Amino acid sequence: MTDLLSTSLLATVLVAALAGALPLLVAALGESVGQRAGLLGLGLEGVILLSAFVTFAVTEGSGSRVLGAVAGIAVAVVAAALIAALTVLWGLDQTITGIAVTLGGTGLTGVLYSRFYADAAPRLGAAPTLTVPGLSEIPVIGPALFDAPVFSWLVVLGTVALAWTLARTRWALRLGAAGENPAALEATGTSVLTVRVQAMLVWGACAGVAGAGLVLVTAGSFTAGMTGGLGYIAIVVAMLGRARVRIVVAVSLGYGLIVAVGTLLQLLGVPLPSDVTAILPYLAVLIALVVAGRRGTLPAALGRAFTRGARS
Amino acid sequence: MSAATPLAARSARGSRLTRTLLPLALALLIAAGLLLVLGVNPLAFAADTLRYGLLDGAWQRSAARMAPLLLVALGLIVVFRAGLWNLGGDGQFLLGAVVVAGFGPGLLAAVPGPLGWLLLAVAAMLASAAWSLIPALLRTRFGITEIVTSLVLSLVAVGVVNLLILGVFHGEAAGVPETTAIPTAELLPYLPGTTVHVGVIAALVIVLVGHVVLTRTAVGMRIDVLGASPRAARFAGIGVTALTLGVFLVSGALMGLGAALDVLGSQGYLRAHVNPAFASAILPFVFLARLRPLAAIPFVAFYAVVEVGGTIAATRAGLSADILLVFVALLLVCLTVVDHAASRRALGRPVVPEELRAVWARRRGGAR
Repeated sequence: MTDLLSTSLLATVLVAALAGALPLLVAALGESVGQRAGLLGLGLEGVILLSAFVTFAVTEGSGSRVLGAVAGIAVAVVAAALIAALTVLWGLDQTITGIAVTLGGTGLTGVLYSRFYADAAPRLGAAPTLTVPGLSEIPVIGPALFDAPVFSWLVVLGTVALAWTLARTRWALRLGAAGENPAALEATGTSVLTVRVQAMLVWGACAGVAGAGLVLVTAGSFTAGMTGGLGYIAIVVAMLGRARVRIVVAVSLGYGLIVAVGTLLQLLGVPLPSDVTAILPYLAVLIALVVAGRRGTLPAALGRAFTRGARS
Repeated sequence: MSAATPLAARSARGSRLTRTLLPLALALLIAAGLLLVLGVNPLAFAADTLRYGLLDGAWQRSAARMAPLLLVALGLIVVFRAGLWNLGGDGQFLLGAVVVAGFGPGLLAAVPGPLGWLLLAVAAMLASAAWSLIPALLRTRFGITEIVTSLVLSLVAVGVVNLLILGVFHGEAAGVPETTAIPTAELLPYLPGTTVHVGVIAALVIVLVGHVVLTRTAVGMRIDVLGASPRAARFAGIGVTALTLGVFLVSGALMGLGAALDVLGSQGYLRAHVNPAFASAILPFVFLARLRPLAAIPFVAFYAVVEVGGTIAATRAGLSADILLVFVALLLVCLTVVDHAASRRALGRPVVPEELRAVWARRRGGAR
């Protein structure tokens, strides 16, 4: 009996770990693409919140999760296009613009949520899952891996596709050049601005998926400031991974596990304030960054605007 | 030539005024539009903001709010002038606040008055400065960008502060996660005839001193050189590492001092999970002031009114106080966009300042 309990408990932790890890994974992958191209993406937190809120509002209003997710992702891509227009095409300061986007996204979603939803605080219910017959019967890992929400399957597919793209395509090389030495890329006849705008749009789409996943799969609802720094963690994870997908995956899963174990301990009645589980991931990624990240490992032109024809 | 210079200076001053007022006007306009969309009358909102932030003695609460805001603004200016980013001001501020609110009741009971306030302020400054040193060290030792580390460490600090209030600093009031309030009699005294505490004067004096140090001394010059070009600073023999650590320490200490004045002057206690986020909010105004401490004073006064009055106005309109964050974000965007548009327009003109060109023209004339 106790054995059975602990197996189902382990399975629950695994499910929670994956649900917690996937939004971070997607956001960090998008951020990796952005950083590779020299974009700091400090507005990530704000864009994830925007997408999360729109996903929540549209799903709640229309009853369709797909519609909600599409709307959330669309809003995130539009936001990314605006950021790209300001920082890439116009060359505005990436840091200031990023802070503005995060403050604005946090503020706007907070205002809208409290205005229209705070009293009722509607929930969206559990996400539909895609069950693999047979395999989902495997104890412990079965329910987590083979009875997973559709979202998780899509994330896995997307991750594999992005890993392939970053490892095998010419576009990935251009990304790296846009971040390391934009002038050299421009000299080969490729537009740095075009590459960076593309990277920004991928960044936005990923942030949108992360926000949608956060609402539809991880939380099943929206609350003001629900990201709680997820965007910042994603930025650090991307810095850790330096566009190597397997590292981003590993760190994200580690993050999900920390969150899940924290939740589990709370459920088991261990008096663990939520603030402990909130700050542990930050400390973990920061320490990892110090241990793993040595001098000069970030793209040389990270955070710098590129002006055509200007001497660097 | 002699007639052209004052004219150019006047137009430069005019454009500086435009660059300052236009973003404010734009941000206010967009915010008004947003309020309309939300079904709130922007004029009524503005009237409420003025009523509860400025008129009928409400100005005194705004003036008191200026104490923390001024010091936080100065703390940002010090690092920004050095071309560095301390984006962890919110966490550093809270750390200083929790030190004062946590130790304050006990310490002030034993050592009341100025000595007690001084001890608490120094403790707050030390705590905040120590926290701000971490991103500086990560930058100087490992080359990790302080933009991200200071932000993430700020979130860690917020969590630590909450834990402290839930744990060791939990007051007697059961259930409510807040520190024991410092008795009103032991808080900073008011200026005669007002309800504005003396900490505001202290903050104004410190901003004045900061202005002189940053604009009139060799240290200020070194900070500006570092901000203009780290390479140039190194060639000029400036100890970049020491200066980086120094400006971060000073920045953090100022955040801590601002927090100390806020707790000792206005709040008297600190509640868990409440983050005033002054450093985020004051950010655009620091840039509007062109990183000049004295110029920041009117902007801080403006935002103090907006914050004090706007929070009440938002509640009365049935809105979340997050609306202030939206205004701050709008202002940041408008500010950078207007600035950029202005400098773009100036692109066709020579980059060299007027005075320097006059010197060159004279030299060239002499050579011929």
